[in-house]
Amino acid sequence: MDWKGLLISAVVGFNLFVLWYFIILNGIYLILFLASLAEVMRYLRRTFSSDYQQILTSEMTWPISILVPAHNEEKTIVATVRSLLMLNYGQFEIIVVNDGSTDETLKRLVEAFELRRMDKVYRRSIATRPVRGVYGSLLQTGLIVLDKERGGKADALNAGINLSRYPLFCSVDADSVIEEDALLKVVKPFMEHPEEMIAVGGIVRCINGCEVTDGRVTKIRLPQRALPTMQVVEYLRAFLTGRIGWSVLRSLLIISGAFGLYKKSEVIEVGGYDHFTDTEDLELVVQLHENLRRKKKKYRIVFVPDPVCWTEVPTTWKVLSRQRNRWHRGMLQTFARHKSGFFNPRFGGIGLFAYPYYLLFETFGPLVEVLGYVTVLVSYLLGILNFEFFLLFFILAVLYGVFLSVAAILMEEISFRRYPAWEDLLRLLLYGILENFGYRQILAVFKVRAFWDFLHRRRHWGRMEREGFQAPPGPRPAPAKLG
Amino acid sequence: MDRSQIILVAIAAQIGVFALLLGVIVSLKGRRQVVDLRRRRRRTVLEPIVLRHARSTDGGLVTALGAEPGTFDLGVLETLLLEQIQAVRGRYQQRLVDACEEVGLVDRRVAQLASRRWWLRADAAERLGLMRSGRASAPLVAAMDDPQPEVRIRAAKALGLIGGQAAIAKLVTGLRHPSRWSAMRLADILTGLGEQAVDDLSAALPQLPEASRLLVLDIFGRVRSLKAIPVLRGLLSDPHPDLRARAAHALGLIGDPGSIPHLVGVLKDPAWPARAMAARALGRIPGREALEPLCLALTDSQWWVRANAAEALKSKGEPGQRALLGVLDTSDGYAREQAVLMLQESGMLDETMARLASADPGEVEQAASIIRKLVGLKRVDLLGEAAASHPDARVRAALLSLLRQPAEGA
Repeated sequence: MDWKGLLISAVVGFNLFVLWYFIILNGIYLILFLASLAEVMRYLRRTFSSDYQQILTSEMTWPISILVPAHNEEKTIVATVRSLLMLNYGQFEIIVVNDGSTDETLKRLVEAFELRRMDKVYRRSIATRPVRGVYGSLLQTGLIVLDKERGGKADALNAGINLSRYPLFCSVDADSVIEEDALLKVVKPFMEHPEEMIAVGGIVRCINGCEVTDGRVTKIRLPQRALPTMQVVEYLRAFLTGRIGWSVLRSLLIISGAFGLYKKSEVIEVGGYDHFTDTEDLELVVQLHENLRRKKKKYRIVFVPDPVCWTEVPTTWKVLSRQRNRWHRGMLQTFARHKSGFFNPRFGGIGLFAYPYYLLFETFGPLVEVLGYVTVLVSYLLGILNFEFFLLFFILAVLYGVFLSVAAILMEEISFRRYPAWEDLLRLLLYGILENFGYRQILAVFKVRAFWDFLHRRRHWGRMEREGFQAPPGPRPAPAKLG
Repeated sequence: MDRSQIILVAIAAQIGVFALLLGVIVSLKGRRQVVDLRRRRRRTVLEPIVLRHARSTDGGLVTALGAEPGTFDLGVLETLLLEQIQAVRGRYQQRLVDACEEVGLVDRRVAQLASRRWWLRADAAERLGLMRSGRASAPLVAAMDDPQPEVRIRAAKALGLIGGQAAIAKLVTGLRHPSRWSAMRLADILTGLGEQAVDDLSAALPQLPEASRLLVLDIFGRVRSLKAIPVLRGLLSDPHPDLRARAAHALGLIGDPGSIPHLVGVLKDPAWPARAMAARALGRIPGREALEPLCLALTDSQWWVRANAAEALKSKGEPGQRALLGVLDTSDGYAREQAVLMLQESGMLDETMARLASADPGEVEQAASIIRKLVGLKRVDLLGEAAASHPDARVRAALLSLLRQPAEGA
């Protein structure tokens, strides 16, 4: 067989592989969607607002330490802390960890909350970079600021864990806004299963386009620009059909770093957040799973769809590229470190289903997709492209993508309905279609580039250029304008 | 059928599903908006009538409405009545409860307790509790035996809101075999009932499983029932350490000074959780008898006991703070650190620094002696900050001088 024959065989073989890959992947998506739908219906039936009132007033509710790692967050940090202080919850403390900021993050906090240095005992349960000082507030007894040398987000969170007093801690990003009742909702699983519950994640939604007043989201609208709107659809799909589904299957591997509640003792047992990966949130959850499976302990790590954390998403392709590169690189780093877990029956459903799925489809999916486009081109050049079949397959793939997005929007409509305007609903549907033409393909390219960085052991967080939240129109924009 | 035809069929199916989903989304949203609009309109009509009815002294709600309400209006009325029942008390509340019975809302929800769908039964129990109708007591007691835990707990909560001795007995029985979440909710409900639940709980205590006994002790503490004190003191010598710890905690919440000697005894308990709770409880009860044992507890082998003892001393006011100053001379490093922190948090250190500017040389020397001890212990973060930013220049100068001196006992 000559080289051309070999190439043709390879291309035909790859096409067949892509076909089966597509069928299996979308089969899994369908299962996840159906599982999520059933779970959301169950969640809605079981949820009574009076339960949250009871959690709020009960003396038996677990107290929570909220950890806010902050590095150069001078524009948003005061508003973020103010919004956290207004949270509807019984007993909680806020620990802001100033991770070697070179701007005026610490100064802004000291001035806004009348902080003063305290000789507080810092117990080093987890090793961290040196602590420069601990500050207490004269105005707010529940606010502590820990100033330390730069060590990265994982190190900052570990320092916060060391200083925290309470058995549960909640990690919150310094540029995010937590809904007023979010802590009540995210702690409920811990109240229901106090022995088994290890970690609970909440939903992350895009704040771009929303109006923010005094650190609270007061009007929910879609962003005006296309790029963030596509991310709204993407987040809805990822959280409402992906994470809920994996949570039902007891194989949730990701709890977003922007908002998650953890049992402190279990996190300390695995050595806290890891410095050696770029997605410390994923790495922590994977380590928790492995440790608990190893100990053969009955446990739960779940996702709750209602407690909302609002966060700003990238508005430029450049920043989006950096963000997705880091996420994907982090996934590669974590799965490379935990390769012994793949198809390992000792790790139960995690080892047999979740790990292989994340590796084969989430991690390598973009590579397969990009190679698929290259193969189409090669097939065309070799004159073996069945154009009719290719076109039909492409239409089917796009329609399936549209179906998944529309299904997520349906789930949103029957459950939480955060976007009340008709215009927003129609735009969500429109972007659910449009994102299949270009946006998803470009994301796949960003993720493929992450393979290159991973292989070259490149590690960089990249800077998130923030536009700030949108203040409501009218005469008092100043307090709401962050950034 | 060849591959292309299969894909064509799949595409057609996808388009069909897409159209179906789209139709469902749009019709759901449209219907919801129409219903909401209609509800808002009816509410503006019905709300003044309901408020007038609550304030009046005679006549029924149906008379005030002019006719029996239809199904849609009944839903709006239920929302309005439940909101108002939570907002008012006494005679006004009773008028609204009677109105719920009069328009048939109580009967409607009692009938719903027999629904085949558990979430509808749970919803009915929840609403009946909010309606506070005594007529619902018997069906709710029956609902406490529902196979679904969610229905049972909401029936329990409803009974808690309605009150009555029959409800208490049933709720106490419910503590025997509950899940943790149900038990906690039951405990909150029983706490809400207050003193009237204490006798039933005391009588049931010996027969309850261990987890439920712990909850009962919490209820005693939260209710602050003096009647429960003998039971709680007796439990301080129970073989189970958790029960001893929880009993000590409850005694601290009740705050009877007669419990101090008993709690001081628990500071020597072999189980550290019991010692920690005793230290915390002693901080809550006013009196100076426990100062010395609490200072001793600052040298306990367990950090939680030491931390609670330090907090307890802080809460004792000036005598406790003097005791904390004495701890600065002990050899236990952690005890000293806790003492420093408590002195800072209680504001005593601020007062001490201010005394450095006093006209009385004796007072200045006394303050300087305390500061020297802190310098000797290297707890100088706050002192250093005050030396730079204290509003009184004399204090700043004195602090700077003390910070430069060789550390005392370093």
